Amino acid sequence: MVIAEDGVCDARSGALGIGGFYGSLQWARTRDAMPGQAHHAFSVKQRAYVAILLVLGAVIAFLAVRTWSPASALSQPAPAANATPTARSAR
Amino acid sequence: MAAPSEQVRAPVASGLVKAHTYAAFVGLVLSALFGLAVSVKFHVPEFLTNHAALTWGRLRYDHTQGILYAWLGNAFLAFIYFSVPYLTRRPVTSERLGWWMFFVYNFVAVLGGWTLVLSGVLQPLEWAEFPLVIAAILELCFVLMIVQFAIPFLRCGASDLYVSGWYLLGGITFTTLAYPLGNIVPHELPGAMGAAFSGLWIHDAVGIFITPLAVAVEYFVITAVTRKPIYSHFYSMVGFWLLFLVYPLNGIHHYIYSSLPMMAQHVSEAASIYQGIDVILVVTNLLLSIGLVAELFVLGDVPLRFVWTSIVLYLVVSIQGSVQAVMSFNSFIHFSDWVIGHSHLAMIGFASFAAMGGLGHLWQRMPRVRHNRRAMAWSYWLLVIGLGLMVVDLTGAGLVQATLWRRRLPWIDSVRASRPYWAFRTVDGVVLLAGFIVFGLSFVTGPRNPEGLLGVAVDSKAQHLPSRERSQYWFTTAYAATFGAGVLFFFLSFLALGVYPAIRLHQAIRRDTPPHADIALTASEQRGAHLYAIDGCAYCHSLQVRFTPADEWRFGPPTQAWETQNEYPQMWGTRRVGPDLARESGKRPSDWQLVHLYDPRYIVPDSVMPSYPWLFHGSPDRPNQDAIDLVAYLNTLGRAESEIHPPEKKVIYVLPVNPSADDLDEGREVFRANCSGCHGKNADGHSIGGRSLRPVAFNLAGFKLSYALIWRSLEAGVPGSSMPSWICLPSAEFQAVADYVASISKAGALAERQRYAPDPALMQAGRRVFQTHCVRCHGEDGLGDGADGLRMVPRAANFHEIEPSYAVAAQVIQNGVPGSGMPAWPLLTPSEIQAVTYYIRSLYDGKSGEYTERPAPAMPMEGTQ
Repeated sequence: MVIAEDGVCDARSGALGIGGFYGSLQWARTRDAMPGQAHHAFSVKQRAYVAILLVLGAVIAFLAVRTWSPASALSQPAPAANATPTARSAR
Repeated sequence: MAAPSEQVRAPVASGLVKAHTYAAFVGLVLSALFGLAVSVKFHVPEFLTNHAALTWGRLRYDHTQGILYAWLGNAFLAFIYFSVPYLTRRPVTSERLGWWMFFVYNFVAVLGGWTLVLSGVLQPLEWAEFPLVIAAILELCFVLMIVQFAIPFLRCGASDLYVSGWYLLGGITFTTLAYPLGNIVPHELPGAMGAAFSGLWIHDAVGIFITPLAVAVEYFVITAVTRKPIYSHFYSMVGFWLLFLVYPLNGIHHYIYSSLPMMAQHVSEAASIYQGIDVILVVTNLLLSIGLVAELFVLGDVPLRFVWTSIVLYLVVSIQGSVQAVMSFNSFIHFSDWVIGHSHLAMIGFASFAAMGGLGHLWQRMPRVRHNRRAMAWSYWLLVIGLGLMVVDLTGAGLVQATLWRRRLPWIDSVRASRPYWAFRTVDGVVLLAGFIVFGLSFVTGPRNPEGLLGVAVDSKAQHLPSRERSQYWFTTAYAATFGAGVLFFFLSFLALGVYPAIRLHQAIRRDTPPHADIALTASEQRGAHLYAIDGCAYCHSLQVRFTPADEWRFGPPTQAWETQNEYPQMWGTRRVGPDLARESGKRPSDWQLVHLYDPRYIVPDSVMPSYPWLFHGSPDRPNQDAIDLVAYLNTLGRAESEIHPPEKKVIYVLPVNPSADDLDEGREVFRANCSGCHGKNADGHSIGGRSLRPVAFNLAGFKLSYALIWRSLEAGVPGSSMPSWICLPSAEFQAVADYVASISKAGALAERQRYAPDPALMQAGRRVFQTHCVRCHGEDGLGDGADGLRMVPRAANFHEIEPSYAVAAQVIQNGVPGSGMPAWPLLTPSEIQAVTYYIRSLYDGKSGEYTERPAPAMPMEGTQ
């Protein structure tokens, strides 16, 4: 008896064309094709989702990097705690 | 051509799958036991402290290396042996090679690595603690993995490659390239430059070794169980490329606010955010691939349930990681248990759950083995509960620690506050260990699988291609692209986060190193640095003061690259249980360090630091050479900087007060928590730790001290003694403990019947004794400014601000003060001692020091960052 899982990985057909990022997307087109289609144009929904995520990442990364710089951090006032403890009235 | 059913079959190497599965469980349980022992030591510090091999640091090293290689490495290898024939329709390159690799990997690398670490042969590099010889063997194993698993992909001739295959190949290729960076380069590049490469590997170990393999499992198991294609191959490919582009660029986010070039820090910050974006995309695809069958399969198929949980936690931990890398948040949370909670969430919640899903999936299909679905389901819930409790617990502990570190509080307060969390973490750990054991039992109990042969029909298309055509084919297909991705992105990250910072740091070091900086270490100090490394000190006491106000206030000037140019390898650390030690030089005398090493609780009662009794011959005043070397090294930390920029002298301000009973109660509590370790519960200097110091701890109850002296000692410490500054106390506590000490310092008068002579005679005799024996140190007027006294550290006593009781004065005069300039005067008679004490007491006026009104409250640090 052979315990096989044919079709499990579903990646046995279709031509890649060339390697690399573009090639992998070409392959993905063939894999995402509906039955009977040779290729599949990625849906607007899928493209939009990817685009939104990429733009979102860029915006967040830009904002995060902008929130801090060495100059701004080092120009912050010295911690008050560096001062000497004083009278009980300070409590 | 033969019909498909008669085609040559690519068998799964079942023996290797089983062997790696069993090895994974043994590795998991042992690694978890190492972790549990480490956890217990946090709240029972004396647990397993009598031998160097069982010290906290070495067990911690074995815990993380065990989880990485013994558990996850074996689990993923089992899965790769199982999945490669399905992905390629080819067997792995050689079963014989597989068995050779199995024995070398487990019995030489893992077992040898554990043993060497316990015996002190190791390197203090995070996620690279196994010594270099083991690192070389592991690197050989990674190379052999490429031979073993990449060749079937090259041979299979398929023009495309399922996304699991992409991740497998990319992960193995990239790991083989990145592994030497974190293990070997820090030995060649010092300090900050080495840290850049260490950071690269710290993240690559998780991001490039573990993550691709875990995602490969997830993509594989989902389609295998649902028997549907994944939701979007488009998403899978974009996700794959983004992962390999941005993950390696994350590395330096472990050293944010350090002296590494700011551009590299920003790149790592931006890449960390993009990593979160990538994970959102990948998780979207994975969850949609499970899709509407989620209810059926997640609940019905236990391995898929593990995978589903892994996917969800992958999202959680990645978003958490992205947020942690944002500098403003990082300044708050870094070094705390929050990060430990994050790493457990990653290594258990994401990686281990994926590995368990993969192992559970393949085991159900292995012929002739037992598998117990019920036990596996039980293990799932034990692990979910244990992990959930642990992450919540450690996250809470991290928030508490981070908050306290930014307040004006002694460091030990954060340790005290953490102890309940650490105790609870042990409970969580026991639940997790139980889950691991039950999961392992599910592989050896239950009904037995039927006989059979695992394998898949071979697609022989490529075998019939002419060799020339086949070679062209290889360069234009997916596996070539995948391999190229690994190499290309490796070099991208290598340049951006390794080479670029190293060049910039080299320039900075040449520019900034002061001409006469004393940064070279003596042979003794170098041996001390080695001991610091092998006992894991840097894993609790970081050696880098960051460019943050909280760090600068608490520890001193930020660590600069030039100071680290003799650190091979760097020990910056990424965690603080105890305080940072990068500015330790001159803070405490050597005898304090020795007593603290012998038993930290002698002088810091609430410390959780391990004892190091093997560095001594039975008592803290009998250190062996190792202890002396280690203390010598501690005294070098920050020495060069402090010699060039000596700390500013502080001005003393004191306000006389009239404390209330509440103030004194508060002061008593502060004293008990922070001072009683040395000065004793009764403030009489009688404690094991206090008597071991040189000079011995001061007997506060036997002297009357001026308020100014108390204040000054609390504020600036007592140079030459073990008394540190307590400037870190909140104003109220500082004042309260000063009041309390003032209230207990007594110098009772002499009863009439105890006098040897009337007052005038005592005064005259006392002055004579004083001028004969004491003025050389204590000065003509008893101000402690005698010719010899001025050269002493600590200075000779100023009797205008110290008034001894008769009993204590007699004790001091007869016995001297060990470790100070005060010798014993055994030839003085009791009457002479009484007379000189009488005279000394007459000098006391209690008015030394400056009394100045100060209006400003000095309050905590919150809001200053």
